Amino acid sequence: VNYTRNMLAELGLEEERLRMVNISASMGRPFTELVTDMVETVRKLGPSPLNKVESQESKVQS
Amino acid sequence: MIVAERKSIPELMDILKGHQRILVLGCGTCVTVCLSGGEREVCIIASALRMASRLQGFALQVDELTIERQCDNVFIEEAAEAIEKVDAVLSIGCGAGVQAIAERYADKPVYAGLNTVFLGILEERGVWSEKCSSCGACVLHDFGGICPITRCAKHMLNGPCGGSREDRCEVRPDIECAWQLIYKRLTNIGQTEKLTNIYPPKDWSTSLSGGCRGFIREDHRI
Repeated sequence: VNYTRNMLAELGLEEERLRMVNISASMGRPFTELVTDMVETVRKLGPSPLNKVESQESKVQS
Repeated sequence: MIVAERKSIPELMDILKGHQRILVLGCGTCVTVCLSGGEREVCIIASALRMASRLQGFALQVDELTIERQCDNVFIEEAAEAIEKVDAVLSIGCGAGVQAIAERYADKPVYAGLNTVFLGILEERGVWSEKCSSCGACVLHDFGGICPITRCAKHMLNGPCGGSREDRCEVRPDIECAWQLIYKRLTNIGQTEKLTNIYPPKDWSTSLSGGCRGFIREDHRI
């Protein structure tokens, strides 16, 4: 995962968009906290720059 | 095996500047085993280049192909059709592979996607280390199978240097002292008397000093 995070940073995306955690099925509260934290992280970052590029391209095409 | 590592994506993007359609060409031999240039890495690098180019405002078309061996004309031939369709080739084979492809396809730009670093072995999962400098005059028979040229930081043939501490190299404390390893190995196989031989200065004429080397087996020539 660190290798892929580094590669994302190299090619110009935020590495925070990718995260891997190991968590037991019995750990309900930590699970929800981690998911909430990930959602917040992605919200703050906003849509992927790749999506922005794609939507601009589709506007140009239409 | 030949060990190589990937160049960074920004460096690759810089190398490929000006091209519209490229082929990422993998090699199924050494660089597959060292996880740098096989079929899987072709997919990863191709995807990364597509994304990086989109983020830079243009859509680089990236084709993908992996052949069995880039250093063998029989296999290189299999890439002809794919190479015909593109502006340039990004070879993720070793330095020999890149040059073999460039020689075969003389009118096509061929770039190296990897840095070829050494001849070595897999020590453990994800860890490779250098074992051979391909000096052209092997001395392993005298040193218990441990190469002082490659593995001693001072390349000493009449070691040890006296600087090692707790079996670690003075120059590179993260590696074991090659001469300590040689001594232990020769002790284990009952050949410590070899350490009394004084080695003359090494003849480097078999190495790269005279330009690139060749090897001919007359009995196999047609």
